[in-house]
Amino acid sequence: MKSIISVRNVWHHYGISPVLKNVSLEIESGKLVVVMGPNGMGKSTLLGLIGGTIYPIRGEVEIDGKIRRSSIENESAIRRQLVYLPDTPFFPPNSTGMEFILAVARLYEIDSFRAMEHAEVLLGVFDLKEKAHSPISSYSTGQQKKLGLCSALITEVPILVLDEPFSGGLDSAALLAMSKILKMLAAREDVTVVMAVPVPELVEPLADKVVIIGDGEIIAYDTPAAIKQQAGGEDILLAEALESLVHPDKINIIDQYLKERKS
Amino acid sequence: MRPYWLMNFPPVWSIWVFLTVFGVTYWLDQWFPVAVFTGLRTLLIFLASLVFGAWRVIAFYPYPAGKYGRWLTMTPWQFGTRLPNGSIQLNASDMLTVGLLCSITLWDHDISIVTPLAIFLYTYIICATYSTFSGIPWRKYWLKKVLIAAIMPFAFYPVVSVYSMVISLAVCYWLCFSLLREVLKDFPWNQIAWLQSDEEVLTKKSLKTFIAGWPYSALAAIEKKEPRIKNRICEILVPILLAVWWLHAMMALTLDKNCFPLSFILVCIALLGIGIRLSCYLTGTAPPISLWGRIFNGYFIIPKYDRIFLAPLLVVILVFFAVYFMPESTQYAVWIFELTIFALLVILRGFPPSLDQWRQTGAFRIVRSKMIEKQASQVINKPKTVFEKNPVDLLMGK
Repeated sequence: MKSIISVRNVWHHYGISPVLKNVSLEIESGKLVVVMGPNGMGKSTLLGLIGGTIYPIRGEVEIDGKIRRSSIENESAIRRQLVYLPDTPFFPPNSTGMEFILAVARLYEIDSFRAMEHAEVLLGVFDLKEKAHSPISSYSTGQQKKLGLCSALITEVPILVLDEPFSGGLDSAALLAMSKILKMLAAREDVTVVMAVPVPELVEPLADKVVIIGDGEIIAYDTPAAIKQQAGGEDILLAEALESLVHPDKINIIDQYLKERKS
Repeated sequence: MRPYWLMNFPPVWSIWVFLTVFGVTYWLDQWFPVAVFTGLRTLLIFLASLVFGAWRVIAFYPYPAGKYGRWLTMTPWQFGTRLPNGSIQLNASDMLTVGLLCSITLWDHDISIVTPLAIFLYTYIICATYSTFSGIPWRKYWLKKVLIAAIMPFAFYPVVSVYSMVISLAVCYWLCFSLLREVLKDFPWNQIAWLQSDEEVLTKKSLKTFIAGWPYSALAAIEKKEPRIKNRICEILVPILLAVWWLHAMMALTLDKNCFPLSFILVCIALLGIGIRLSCYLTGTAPPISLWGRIFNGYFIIPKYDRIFLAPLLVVILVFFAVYFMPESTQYAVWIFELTIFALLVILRGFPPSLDQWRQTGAFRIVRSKMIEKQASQVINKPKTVFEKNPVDLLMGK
């Protein structure tokens, strides 16, 4: 199948030591790919590179056959078909939720009436209907997270890059809604989703493929079942597989600790 | 009700204020005959002519975003019929008002009788020309605007004389009159159509991007078609040539050119220009890697990032040589000064990459800028004009 996102030999530093080391990744069209790994290992940097907020020191990122920031035409075309939602986006505080979502829809040239209809539905799904016409400054952290998700979904673009969409105080109803929406998107062949998730259990049933990053390098990139197999067996949890691949000694340390506490 | 030709007469209260202040200075002059009161009266006439010239445009021009302009679009008014609030063109009532101001100068004989007329006309022409930029792409009617700006300095260049002033003012007024007629002929201004086809689309988009927040604002797919090279050269060169021409004319006004510390002014202008260019390019961005990171990892030059520092570097070199070789003779020094200003403006405005090219292809990190966040929180409080509203808002009655 055709790769819609290609990350080739990417190195990135913010300071002296590299955050990403010679990372290469091919993501096929229509797949839902989850990026996992411990904190500070380069998940958000990788997503930022794909999303376009970061430019690699070495290597290149190609989206649908066009290299990022290679020319005005290529970059504009990429920006029209990809949306990047960072972990903590900035919302204009005096704007209302509805105004914000519609402004994002207008940026992606969604027909006004269609956007209006979609915004109403999305706000309903995420229990934000009552707050839709209140300034965003009055939203709680969880509500702002939901609003960010609504803004990404209203764009109707074929590539969604979401940095930790399940974190930030989402309530159980929102988690359920998001899981179902992602499931629906995963089933579609024209939508590609790349997201970073710290809790593997949430995405195990959804993910087509999982990327495990450790110390700036890709340790594994395969289906959840294959990754579990690689880590020691299909019966283990994805979280355990992640830990055994990134920190092979960690499970032993935990087991040792529990044994000591029991005795 | 006042007859139409008298609708442009200033409000009665303003005449009362003027006459009262003028009378008080005259009365004080009787008791304390010092020169300061004559000077005050002259200043008063200056100010009155200036304010009247500006008021004649601001109060009667149907600005598209103003209440009057918006109201006018709802009426069947069209070019050829009288503007309901009074004419924007000069008429008999203006002659009356300016005539009064001119005759008052005879009181003290401190200034020439034509000074109030010249000040009034200058202010009126500048304000009227500037008003035609409001809500209309600047490229429209550009020739007349450029000609007005180019001819105006002839009033005081090469020497101040009544003849050159009268001729230049007459030509500028004729151009301004014809420009206003042309603009009003196109009323109601089809802004939306212009916005779709012109670079003004950016202004419209920027409003959306500010409301869209970060990172949407920074990653918006705003594709601006680069103007053809000929247009681009014109866009850069014409304003710069006009600015340098005005600078040259203004400097010619001062006979004693030794009073200009030219090298110092040049350095200040260069620093200001570099600061403005860099702030435009660097707002909302961060270097791809820290300075220490660069040094330790050997990335001494990152071409796709460092290219924006080429123009400032060229300006620094240019100004260094200009200051170093600045001749002793004031006459030649002024020429060197003006040529350097021209060159540095061309470099700062036209040296690649263009701002659009940089924003879409530069090797920077996109970061949240405090300035853009501030604009985002302010823009929503700005009252929207009918043109800035989207159809959904209009339907919802917002």
